[in-house]
Amino acid sequence: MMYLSVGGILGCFVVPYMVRTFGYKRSFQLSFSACLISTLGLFLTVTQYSPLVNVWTFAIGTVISIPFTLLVAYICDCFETQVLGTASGIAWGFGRIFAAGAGLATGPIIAYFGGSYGTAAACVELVYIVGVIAAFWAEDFSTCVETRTAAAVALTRTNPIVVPVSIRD
Amino acid sequence: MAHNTLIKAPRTTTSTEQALENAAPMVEAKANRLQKWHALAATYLGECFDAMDATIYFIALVPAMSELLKTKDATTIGFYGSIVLAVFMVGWALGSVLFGMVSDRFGRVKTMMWTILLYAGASGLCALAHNWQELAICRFFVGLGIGGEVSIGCVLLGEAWSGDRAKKLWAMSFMQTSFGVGCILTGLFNLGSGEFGWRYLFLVGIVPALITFYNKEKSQRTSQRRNNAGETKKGRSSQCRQEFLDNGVDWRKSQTHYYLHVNGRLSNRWILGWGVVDSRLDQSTYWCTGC
Repeated sequence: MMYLSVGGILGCFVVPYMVRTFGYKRSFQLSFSACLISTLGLFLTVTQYSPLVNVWTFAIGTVISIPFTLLVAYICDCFETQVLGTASGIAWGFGRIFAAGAGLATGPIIAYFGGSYGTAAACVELVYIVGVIAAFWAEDFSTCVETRTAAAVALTRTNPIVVPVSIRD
Repeated sequence: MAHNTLIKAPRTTTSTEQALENAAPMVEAKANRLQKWHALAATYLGECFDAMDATIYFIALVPAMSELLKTKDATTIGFYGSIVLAVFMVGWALGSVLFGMVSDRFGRVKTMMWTILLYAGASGLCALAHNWQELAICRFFVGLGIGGEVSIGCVLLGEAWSGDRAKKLWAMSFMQTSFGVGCILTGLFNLGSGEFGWRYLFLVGIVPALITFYNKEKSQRTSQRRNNAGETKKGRSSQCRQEFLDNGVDWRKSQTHYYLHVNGRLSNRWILGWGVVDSRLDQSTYWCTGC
């Protein structure tokens, strides 16, 4: 857990550079790909305990923290204040429901692969591919701002602002 | 219309008043800067202890479940342990959505304080569990609070640092390091627990409740400052909603409109959010291995 955590701390600091260099879309795709490679590397290459486990654990900790941090910043950029809490709750936290399913399904999956935990875990990690594909539809920050501006204009047109009449001097 | 006939006397300002008026924007700017750092500190501590309370279970799993189930059988411990873990995850998922909505309605700081109190209190109650069902119920509430705190915390920080995009990204990246720090803290508490056992570890989970005092104190100061500046006590989101209403815009209608029509690509963002699910899957899978 220590290797995972220290890797995670370092991974967070990579994010600002990634976003500045690649933008959100490419950063998401790169980080998901890195997560896929590192987890497959751990679960498919390590058959017994060795120092190599710690190296892989550190690598996984580093790359896993990147999508977390990216998504936090991305959500805040892409949603209006009025719905930001709900948006964050759904996009950022509700995914845990699948983690709950994965926890319960671990036993049957291991049994399906003939008792091989490594293969079963590697199979679960393939879900990163969903992230890589979904990132193709991600909007980079500048696009988000334009969309929000267009949204504000459209909203104003459909709901003309009525300035409340107040008593003035 | 009687007030229209009133003749107001011209208001004279002294040099002291003018100086105060000139200094007001600078004082406000300094207060805003401080508020940013307080938001960073509060969310950092909140998420740090989130991580701590979330990972305590992975350390306490075997000793706690073997004592509560009165067995040493690894299969039985693994089976019931994974049920408790799943219940915790479900609580997390529900809490993030539920408290996210609550924070939009009643304000971020207040909701975040309640979520912290919830997960800290429930974590402490885990220490008093007599059987695995009680532990599962307590862990559900821990998950509920943590889920809410994590989703509100990042939003709160994003709003506090909304001025400069680059600085906001750095602030959020720094805040995210708190999860790793929290995991390390759990490890250190475990090393220090010695003979005390798993119940002691869960009791340590009450510590985050102290952050609420920090949050409360800072939010009271902010409210006081806003009152001095002639603003309302409502949260930022409530103020935005009030502005909608004041401008004759139907809040609910506009919200639905915004969700479904204006922001046509919204669904892609949700999908991307779901894509990040795999990170959590991976972490939970990894934790399940006992690493």
